[in-house]
Order: sequence, then C-alpha cells, then structure tokens
Amino acid sequence: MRLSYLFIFIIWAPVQLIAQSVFTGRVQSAAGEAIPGASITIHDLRNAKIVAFGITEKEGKYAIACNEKVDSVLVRVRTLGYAVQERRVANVSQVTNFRLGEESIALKEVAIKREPITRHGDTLSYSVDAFKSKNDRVISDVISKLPGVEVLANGQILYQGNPINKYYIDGLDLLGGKYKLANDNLAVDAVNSVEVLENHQPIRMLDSLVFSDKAAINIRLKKKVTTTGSAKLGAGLAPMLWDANVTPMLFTNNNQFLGTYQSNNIGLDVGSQIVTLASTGRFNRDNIDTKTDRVQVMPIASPSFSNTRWLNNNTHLGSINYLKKLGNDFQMRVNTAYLNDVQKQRASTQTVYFTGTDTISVLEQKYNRLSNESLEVNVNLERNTKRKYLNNLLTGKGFWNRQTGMLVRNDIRLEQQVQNLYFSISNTLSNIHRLGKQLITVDSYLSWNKLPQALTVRPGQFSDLLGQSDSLTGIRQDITQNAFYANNSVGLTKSVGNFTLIPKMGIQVEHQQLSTDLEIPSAGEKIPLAKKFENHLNWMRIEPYAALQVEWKKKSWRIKLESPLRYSDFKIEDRELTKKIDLNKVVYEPRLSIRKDLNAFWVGSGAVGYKNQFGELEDIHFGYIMRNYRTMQLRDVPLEQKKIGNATLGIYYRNPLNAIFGQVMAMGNFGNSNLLYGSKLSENGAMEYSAQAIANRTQSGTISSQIGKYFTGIKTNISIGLKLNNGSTQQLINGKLSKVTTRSTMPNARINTNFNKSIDFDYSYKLNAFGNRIADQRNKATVQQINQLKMLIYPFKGAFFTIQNDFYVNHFGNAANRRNMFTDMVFRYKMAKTGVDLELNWNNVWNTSSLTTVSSQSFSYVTSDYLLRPTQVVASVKFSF
Amino acid sequence: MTNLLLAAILFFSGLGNTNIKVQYQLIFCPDSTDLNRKMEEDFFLDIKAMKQSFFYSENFGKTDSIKALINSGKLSPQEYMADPKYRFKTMFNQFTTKNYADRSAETVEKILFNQFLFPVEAKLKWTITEETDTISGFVCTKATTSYAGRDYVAWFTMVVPVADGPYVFWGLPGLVVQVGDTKEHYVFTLSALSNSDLKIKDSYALNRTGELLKTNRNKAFELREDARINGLGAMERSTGRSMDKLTLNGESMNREQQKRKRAWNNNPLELQ
Repeated sequence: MRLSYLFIFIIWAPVQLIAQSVFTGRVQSAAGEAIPGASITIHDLRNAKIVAFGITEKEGKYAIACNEKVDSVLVRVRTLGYAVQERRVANVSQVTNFRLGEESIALKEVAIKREPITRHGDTLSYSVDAFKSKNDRVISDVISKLPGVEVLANGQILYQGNPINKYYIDGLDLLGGKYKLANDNLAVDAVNSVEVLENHQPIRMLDSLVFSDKAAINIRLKKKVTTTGSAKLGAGLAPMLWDANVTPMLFTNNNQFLGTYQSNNIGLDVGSQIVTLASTGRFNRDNIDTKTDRVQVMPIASPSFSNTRWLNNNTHLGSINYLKKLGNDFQMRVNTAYLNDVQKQRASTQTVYFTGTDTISVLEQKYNRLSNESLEVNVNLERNTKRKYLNNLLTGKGFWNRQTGMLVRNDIRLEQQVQNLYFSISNTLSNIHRLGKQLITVDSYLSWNKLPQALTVRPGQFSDLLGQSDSLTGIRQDITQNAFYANNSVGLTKSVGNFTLIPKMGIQVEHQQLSTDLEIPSAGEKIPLAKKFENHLNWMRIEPYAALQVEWKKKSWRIKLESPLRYSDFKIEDRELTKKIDLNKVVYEPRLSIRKDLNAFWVGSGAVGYKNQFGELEDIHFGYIMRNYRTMQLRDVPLEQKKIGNATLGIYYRNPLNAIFGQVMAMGNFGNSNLLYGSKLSENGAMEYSAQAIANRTQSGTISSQIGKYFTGIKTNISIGLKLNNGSTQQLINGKLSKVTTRSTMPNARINTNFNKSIDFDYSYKLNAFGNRIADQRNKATVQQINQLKMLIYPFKGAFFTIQNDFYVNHFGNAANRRNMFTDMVFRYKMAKTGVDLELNWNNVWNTSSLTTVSSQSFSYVTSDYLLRPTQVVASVKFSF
Repeated sequence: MTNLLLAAILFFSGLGNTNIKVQYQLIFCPDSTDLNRKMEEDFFLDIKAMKQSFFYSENFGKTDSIKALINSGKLSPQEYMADPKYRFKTMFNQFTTKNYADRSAETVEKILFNQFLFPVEAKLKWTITEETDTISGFVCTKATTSYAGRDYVAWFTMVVPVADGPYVFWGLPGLVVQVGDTKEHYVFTLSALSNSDLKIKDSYALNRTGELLKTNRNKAFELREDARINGLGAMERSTGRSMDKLTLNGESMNREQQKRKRAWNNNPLELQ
C-alpha cells in the first residue's frame, strides 16, 4: 500500500511541485442566506492537519489556495449556529458550495479564575474570593490570611513587617486609625478586593515630592452603594452570659457611616476596637495626649492569649462614625466612642527579684476589679487634593477609671482603691499652600490635659519611711497633673531636579504642673508628714527648632537625609522643696535613610540615625510618690539625657505572581545615658526607686525574618519566621552596679489550608525562649510554646463545625514542664432562605480553671496563676442586613 | 443539573443571532528596560450576531460610557471633574470595529485632544502549525504571524468557530484564546466567555466638541508615537498653544520632568 503511494508520489511529484489548487465557492444557510465569517479549513486526510484555511466574506464567498502535495483533502466548514459540514474532495482547483443546516453547538461558557494577587504599579490587589473560606464572615478573617500581611493580636495590621499608615474603605478614611472597628465588623461578602497601596503618601499634594515607605490598605467594596451590617444576640449559661452586637454600616460615594453597639460578658474585649492603630499625626510626639497612670493597684499580668479564656468582663461599647463629602473637596468626619467596661481578675503571683547576690520572693493573692469608662470625640475636616491640603482634627477625651484591688500577702489582707481620671482636649491643624513652585506647610498642634488620680491603701504601708511608729490604718496618695503642649511649625517643600528640599522651623512649648500629696487618713486631725512626701513641680520646656530634610530620588533609589537642630531649654522647679533644674542644650539629630528597589520583587532599605532623649515629667519628682502599695518612688535626679544611635537594615521580597512574600530586618540600638535608675528593696518587698548620675550604656539588637507563600492550587498559605532579641543594660540593684543581659528567641510557623472544600485547617506554632544573665549569674531560661490548631468541618450545606485546640507547654527555670490544653467548639448553621445564622459556642471544654504565666523583666520575673473563665456555653443568633 | 442543561440549550439555540462577550486579559511590559514591571488591562471583544465585533479596553469602555452620559446631559462636567470614581486609566484609548462581511477593520483612537478614524490590518498572514495545547480550558492550535515589528504566536480554538480575536489578531479558523509576541511583552489571554444578555457596546461616544478625523494607520502611528515620546510638544502641535507653563493634575511640570515621568512608557505594542 505504502509502496503504491510512493509510486504515485514519484509519478506526480514534478507536477505537484508547481501545483496549486484553489478552492472557491459560497457558504449559505439552508434558506439561501449568505453566511460571512464562517471558517473553512482544508485538512490533510491522513492526519487531520490543517493545510489551508479561509474565512467567508461578502455573500458567503471564499477562495483558498492550497499548496499541499496530497491527492485528496477534507474541506470542513464551521460557524456558530450551524452544523459542521465536511466534504472529501480531490486536491484540485474547484468550486464547492455549502448549504449549512442550523444547529446549536454546545459552546461552553468560561470564566477563568483570576490570579489571587495582582499588581498595578504600587498597588497590590488581593482578590477576596480567592482567599475566602466558607467560615469567614468579616474582612479581618481574610486579611489575616493574605500573604505578606500580618494581623497582630491587638488588631494592628502589618504589611511586610511594618504597620500600615491608613485604612481606607473605598478610598475614604472613615475611622482615622481606629480601623479595627471596621475590620472586625465589615462583612466579607461586601468586599471585592483588598488592596495594599505600597509607599503610600496620604497627602496628595506631597505625592511625588515626599516619599513614604509605609503601606496603606484599601478595602474595595463590591457595590457603589453598600448598606451592610450585622446583628448578633447570644445568651449562655454558667453563669448568665450574653453577647450582643448591632453594627449598621452605609457606604456611598458621598457618605460613609458605621455605628455600633456591643455588649457582652463572655470575655470579648470589644474595647480594643476603638484603639487608634495607625498614627494620624504629622508630629513625632503625637502620643502626648495618651493617658498615663501614675498610680495603680498591684497589676496582674494578663495571659498572652485569647482573652475569651480569661477576661471576666461586663462591657458596653457604643460608637458612631460618620464621614460626609462636602463641597469644594472638603470632607467632614466625626468619630465618637463610649466604653463602659468592668473587668475582674483573680490570680496568685510570685514575684522574684534578682539582686545579683540574692533573690527576694514575694507571694501575693490578688483580686482586682477594674472599672473603665471613657468617651472620645473626634471631629475632622479635611481637604486633600492635588492642589490643596487642609486637615484639622479636634479631639476630646475623658476617662473615668476606677480600680479596686484586694490582696492577701503573708496572711495580711490589703485593700487598694485607685481613681485614674484623665481628660484631654487637643487640636491638630495641617495646611499646605502652593506658593509659586513651592509648597508652604503650616502645622500646629495644641493640647491640654488634666489627670487627677488617687490611690488609697488599707492598712497603710511604709510606716518606717513615713516616720510613724504605729502601724497605719491607711495611706492615700493624691496626684494632680496638668499639661499644656504646643508645637507649631512652618515649612517649605521645594523640588529641584531629583531633589526635594524641605526646610522647616518651629517651636515646641510644654508646660506641666504636678502636685502630689501623701496623706494618712485619720478620724481626728490630720497627721502631718514631712515635706518630702509632697511634690509641687513646675515643668517648662521650650524648644525652638530648625530642620532641613533633603530627599533625592532617581530611578529606583530614594535617599533621605533629615538634619534637625533643636535648642532645648528646661526649667524644672519645686519651690517647696527648693529644688531646681535648669538645662539648656543644642542637639543635632541627623538621620539618613536609603531605599532601593533592586528589581520588581526585591527592595532593600537601611537607615542610620542619632537621637537625643530627655527625661519626661514622670521621671523626676523630688518628693516621694507611692505608685502602688509596695512601690514608693523618689526620683531626685538630674534630667536624664540619653543619646541613642540607631541603625536598621531590611530586605523585602514580594512576588505577587507566585505569591511569595518575605522580609529580613535587623535593628541595632546603642544608647548612652547620664543616669542610672536604681531600686532599693526593703525586707518587706517595698521598693524605693532612686537614680544616680552614673554614665551608663545600653545596647540592643533585633533580627526578625518572615517568609510566606500562598499556593493557589491547593489554597494553602504557609509562613515561617524567626525573631531574635539581644540586649544589655546596666542596673543598680541594692546599690550594686550590675550588667544585665537578656536574650530571647522566638520562632513561629503557620499553615493555613483550604485545599478541600469541606475542611479548613489552620495550625500555628510559636515558641518564646527567654533567658537573662545578671552580673555573670545566669538564670534559667523560660520557654513558652504555643500550639494552636483550628479545624473547620462542613458536614452539610449551610452548617459548619469548628474545633479549636490550644496547647501550651511552659517551662520555667528548673520546674517541670507545665502543659495546658484548651478546646473550644463552635457549631454554626446558616439558614439559606433568611440568611440567619444560628451558632452554638462551647468554650473551655475541659474546664481548665487556672493557668500559669510568666512575665520576665530584666531583674525580676513574675509567675502568675491566673484564674480562667470556666467552661461556658453560648447560643446566639446572627444576621446580616 | 437539568436546569443547567436547559439554560445551556436556551442559550445556545440560535446562537448565530445572539451576542457573545469575550474578555481578554492583557499583561504587558511598558518599560523594556525593566521587564519585571508588568501591567495589566482587561479588554472586551463583543461579537454582535456573528456580523460585527467590537474590541476595546474595559477602562476605555467605561470612560467612553461616561462621556456618553456627559454628552446626553445625565452627568454634568462638574460632577465628572469632582469625583475620581469617574476616571479610569487606560493605556489603550482605542475602539476597534471589525466587519465580518467585507473582512474589514477600523479603529477610532483618541490621541491627545483629537479622535482619529483609520482602517487597521484585517488580513494578517497566519501560519498554522500542528502544535496543540490547552489554554483557558480550550484545546488550541498554534499559529504564527508578524505584525507591526513583532512576531506573534497565537493559540486559537476550533471549539468556538468564530474567526475573531483581540485587536487585529483575527482571521484564524477559530477564536483566538491567547496571542502574544515571542518576547512576551504583550500577551492577551482569554479570561471569560459568555453569551451577552447584557447590552454589548457596539459604538463609541464622540467627544462633544471634536469631530472624527479620518486618517490612515501609519499617520495615526506617527501621531501616537509623537504624543508618547514628546508629550508636551505634541500637545503644542495639536492645540497650537504653548505648553511651557502647563499644570497637569495640579502639578506644574516642564518638558524635562514630563519626559522623565514618562520614561517608563517606552515599549508600545506597535513598533512600526
């Protein structure tokens, strides 16, 4: 057979070499209608290879030349809506007409799944659908799984290890840094994608002028107008438990609203939702109006894991947030939050102080009742366009906190009463004007705050120190602190070629007054105490400054040099005690930072800087202040001056194509201080602080690294990391100068997978090994290991079942390992028609009643046996609207 | 399952008269000095009753629809200026119409302030190979061609007997599923295919002020390149006004700055 083909081929070859057959004809429908756009393919009969092809045109005509040397071919006609027609014909020029019968072809619809992460310039877009599992309800559930993104226990979001600077919803900043409120309540189904805006400069006027290395997050909603929200009501037993949450939200082009009322006593710390997680200020010291507590009940270190295990609370939280776009590009934002939170803590603690030569151990049984009430109102007006920038933020805060502590030590009962009030009002104004080719920036920050606080201890302590021979029935410390703070500056932003120059001038003024009084309450007349138990401190700090910031950018390089020069003038005086400190100094605090985009995936950055730190008001008082029932502080010291050199180096990798994110950061700090704080421990464990003018140095180093990859096919995210800390300081302990070195090693790993539609699996492991060495005496390391395994099973449609197991292994010094296992179970059923969720929670299945935790400081460590929440069952109904 | 089948039958009967919407994703490197800098845009190929098709970038389509709203008075120019949500960025200000009956294709393109209409390549010389592969779920056959200075590889599927594809890449006996130059600087990949119950976009909205200028492909190429390379100079030539003191988006910039800012845009799809 083959031979005969060969024969034919040889015979015909000369002819076929020059032969070209031309196929012509028309394609029509059965009704005679011309069909243009139909495909005609001519195939080699032997192997179906396409040897020539054509497309019909006007009147359905086609003309195809075929040069293939075969004797017969298959002509196939295809087009949409008609049946395929084929004819076997000889490979010679010919006219072939086709009449196609109508037929529907089963054409498959496709929609290719998008890459889970895409990148456009500086924007990384994570598709929510790709990362969502069935159990996810709010957007934070998804954000915590995104490769490169990390959510800390307090709700702060990190991108490649650094905190984000803005959290937008559809490009608007509704919450001004208190983003946990939205993150924990916005339904995941309303969100299309989560965008990470790298190198985000929130002020549009400065966009191409002032480089930012911070990232922001933007939540892209599915719809232009979104009304969403959720309501939840739950009740449970042993004892009577409740959990309520109503959170309506509205997002439109011109208005955004988020309101919430939440109340529970099941251990949910909803107060964390109104904590500012992204700094809003443009000044370094924007934390000046945060509350400081000068007195305390003896604190109980809370366990470092989910507060639903231990928090014994009764919380009410209300918050209203509203943003409206006004005319002329202005937008107005009002955020209010009210919190009423009563917490009860019970623990027995053992505090061990290492003195270098000796150890002192204090055993205490504590019961604390913390009652926190706070109200915060923010009013913000902003105009942020390419041409104009104005931002004014007015903030008022009030805290009415009260604490009661009952304590038993050596069979002696002690009662502590604390009143921690705090009020502040502040205004931040930023304005940028364009003047010719440069920008003029005016910044102003004003703040007043007042802090009336008191601590009463019964029976009274420190009778020796107070010069009282009898034991005291009680002792009361009163503190009033008033502060006024102002920082005003004017600056210029000018771009010259590749340089941006930002000269700036300003003045800071800080005026604070501290008056304290120690009192022995008595029925009769007031028992007079020495003057050294009172403070009337007047603190004035005036600081004019001038700074020049130079930024240079070219291609992938960014170099920034900051060189601020400050003149600091301190006047600190206590007339009653005739003590006075006058200090003035000129300080120069340069900082150089460099960043280079090595290529699309790698970024390297580094910085070196030098800073001067002066002591704060809290660091100086010439009279005694009782901080807690066994700490009497005296800080009759010169003003602390600390010089800190700092260097950081970081390498970042992010590849959205294969979803690998990683970073390595190293940081070193070298400090020199003129003061050494020391403590004198008396036999009864009372501690007296003092400070001496001895020059000393501190050093610390941190290396942290993290790498993660998302496997699209099996929907699995894996990340591992390691953090190493090393530090050394010098401490005065009972009059002896000791070198204290601390070291900690913290590896972690997490795997999160959704590979199977009916099972989700989330496992994480953390280890924290902490060791220290005091004056060549090495203390046994403490090692804490946390294993968390969460499994979600979807047994049938609409239902799912979660088991969460937390397994802790703690090893303290010489003691044997302590193991604790916690199991929680959740069953949820979603009623498809109504969208209502029914949920049953069973927490602490094994009814573990107490847990031992350890917190270590450089020369002490505290072991607490913390009383946990007993086993509890809560049933709840949830629905979204 | 039966519902699905029914839907499929309803949808596919008389397909010759329905519309098909094909979505392509383009991944491209606008900067030949930094090939890691990848951008992407989505495109639609709207096929109308197997007679005509329309190819445009999704964002261009949106901009164009908004322009139509402004033209009809449903959206005021002030509202448009005030709200960034009306602005969509695209690197491809084009709308290409193909006619199956006379096998012709023409493009409307906005270059700076003018709109041009010009015929584009309609009969690329394709070579079909024997190689096959499965792309985006379709069994495809490989074909090669050259266009405007680049060599291309296309993968078409005979499962969808529509001789169309993205931009000028048509004329194969099946729908083009993927087409990209051999250096992979511009790669279009089919990302969705559906029958279009939705209205397809079968026309473009003209600028209210400008009329359509007829030209040819080579002239349009020159103008486009001029606008890309010497932005300000091209603007001067097109408006007759000096652009020395130009403020763009609130930022004034001179020629050098502008050039530097646009330096990354050095690798257009059409090289000649």
